[in-house]
Amino acid sequence: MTEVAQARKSRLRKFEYWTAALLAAAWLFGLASFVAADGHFEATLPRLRPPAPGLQNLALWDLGPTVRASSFYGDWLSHHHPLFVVDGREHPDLVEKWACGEHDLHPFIEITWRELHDIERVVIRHAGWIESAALTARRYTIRTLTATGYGPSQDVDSNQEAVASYDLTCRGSRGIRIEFKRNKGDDIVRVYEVEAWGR
Amino acid sequence: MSRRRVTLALATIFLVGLVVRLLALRFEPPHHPDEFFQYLEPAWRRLTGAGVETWEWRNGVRSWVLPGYHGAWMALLMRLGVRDGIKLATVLRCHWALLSLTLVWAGWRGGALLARRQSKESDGTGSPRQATDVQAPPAGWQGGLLGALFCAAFPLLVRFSVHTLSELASMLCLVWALVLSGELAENAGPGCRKKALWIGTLLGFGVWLRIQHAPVALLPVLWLLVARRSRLLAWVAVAALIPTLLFGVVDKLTWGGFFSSYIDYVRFNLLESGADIFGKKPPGWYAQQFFHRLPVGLPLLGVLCLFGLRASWPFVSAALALVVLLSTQAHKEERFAMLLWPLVLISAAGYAGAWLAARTSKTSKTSAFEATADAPPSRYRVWLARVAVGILATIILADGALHARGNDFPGLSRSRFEAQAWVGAQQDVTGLLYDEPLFTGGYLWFGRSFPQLLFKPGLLANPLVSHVMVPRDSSEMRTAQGSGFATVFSSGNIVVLRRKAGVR
Repeated sequence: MTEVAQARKSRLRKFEYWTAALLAAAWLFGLASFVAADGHFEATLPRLRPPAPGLQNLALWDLGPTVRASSFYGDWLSHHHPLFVVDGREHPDLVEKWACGEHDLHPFIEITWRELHDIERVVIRHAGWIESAALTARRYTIRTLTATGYGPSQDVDSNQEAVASYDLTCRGSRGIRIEFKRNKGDDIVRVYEVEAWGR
Repeated sequence: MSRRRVTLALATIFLVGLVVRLLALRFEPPHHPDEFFQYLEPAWRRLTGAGVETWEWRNGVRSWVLPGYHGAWMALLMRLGVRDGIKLATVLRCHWALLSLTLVWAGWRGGALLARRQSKESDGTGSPRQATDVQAPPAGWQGGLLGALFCAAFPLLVRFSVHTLSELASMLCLVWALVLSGELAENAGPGCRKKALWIGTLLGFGVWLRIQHAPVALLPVLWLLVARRSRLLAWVAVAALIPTLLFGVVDKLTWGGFFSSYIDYVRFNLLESGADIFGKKPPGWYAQQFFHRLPVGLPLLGVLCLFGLRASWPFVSAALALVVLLSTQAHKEERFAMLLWPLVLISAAGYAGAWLAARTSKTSKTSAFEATADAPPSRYRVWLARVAVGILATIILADGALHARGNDFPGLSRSRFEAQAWVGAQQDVTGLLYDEPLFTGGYLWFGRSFPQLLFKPGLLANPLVSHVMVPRDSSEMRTAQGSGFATVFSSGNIVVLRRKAGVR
């Protein structure tokens, strides 16, 4: 092989190494981002009407809330999407509830609204509202969210109510967050509706 | 033919391979729901929180390695501002199409290797003839070019090259491992340890990416054993440990046990025949399918493989071992056996290349095909041989093209994907009902975090459901129309209906 050809081959090899190194570095950066992702869900619904004056459910879907959830049970057939907790359905189908993922060890759901509001009451329609009472979540903490962090909260240790209502007052609230503990190790959390009443 | 002309021919074949893959990227419909729901959707779900979770992922019978590989590229692209699921899927499909071009290079090296071995077997000289002229093309180039052409343009391989399935990634690894093993068996010169390390790494990835391909991985090992390369085999084993450890550790970190996804997978699919619930096929189904794909070409390939068996036995045995193992399982899908094609095509190319070389060689007694005189063959004879091989290649490729259409899931049409993408692009979408969740692209293709559910009449009353995607003139379509939805888009047989204003 001539010297020119050898030099060309050497340059080509160097180019290959650099390309491979750059691609590997870029991919590793992506991998770090992928591993760091916690897989939480977040969606904002479009606002279809402004909030009415007076007491109302601030979490309702058409006010355009943002819903965050630790995960959801995303089977093809039993698809329990987090946005169902704000759909306002009075007679929901079994599928129209939020259920956390099977591997979710720290289930939570969070609903935030577009402006600051004063909330007075939080209502949770648990699985027992439609299904077996045994599926109702027993232990959870309801936290109010303010512009600067957390507001008043309420710990619930042994809920038995299918529709549980809590007087939780918070001025200038931007949302609520409910952190659940599973009833049993392998039981998933199921919630049909979350209502945040305020003005 | 000069080295320069062979290089040009090879470059042209690469170009053809690239062009047909780009065409496949544009026109090839989805092949299997798994390409989305097993290898892309889990990554998308982890990055965005929205995604369909199949039973395999709930029960931990899938490794995170391939979705993690895809997820890393997705995460990088999302950091760069590409957040559209369809674009991300297209980039990944394109990535696999480009990677599958390495199969063309493997076809070139494998075909040349087998052609050399064939000539060697026929010569009985025990060593390949080395070209002394630097302008001369590499030995076995005829088989190499044919192997490259088959791998570049065989329609099923082209179609398969754009799908994000583990079979494709495993296929690339195992074909390369077999080719490199052959080179190592033929010549353990300088750089052989590096090659052995590559073989081990590729075998490890090939097997763990697709556990059903394991029988194929035995053949490179056997080949090296037969060639008395036991010391190099030790390096192969050491290198194979690296991917093995990687897959084991990833399972430990994600599912809690070393190789737990594989243990569960093998238990469910191979031992308990759990996959039978997805359909059973008779033992001879794969043979029927191969004949269906290549009714004229397959006998030709079979004859070539048979004639060249002494040289190409590792390739042919690997293909047969794969088909035999897969045939023992009642649940069968064409993609499971896709690895057969490059193995058989390269084997056939090797024999045809050696035959052509024998017909066109200027040296005497080049082969046992026919003892030639010392005089160079006539131009007429050379062209006749080239035309014969050209006709053979044309028959195989044309036959493959004529029978390349269709796949295991006739319902998996482009129309659904177009309709779903259209809904995902609408500003007013807040929820979608569809008749067949399996035949869509999941949340990745939808590109929105709003609910997508299987159609039920009762769900039409849910205010979040803004769109319905169902077959034209179906009962679902009529029910949706009766509930205040009107058709706004159609693609093929699929229509999209939107809730009329004011109807909630």
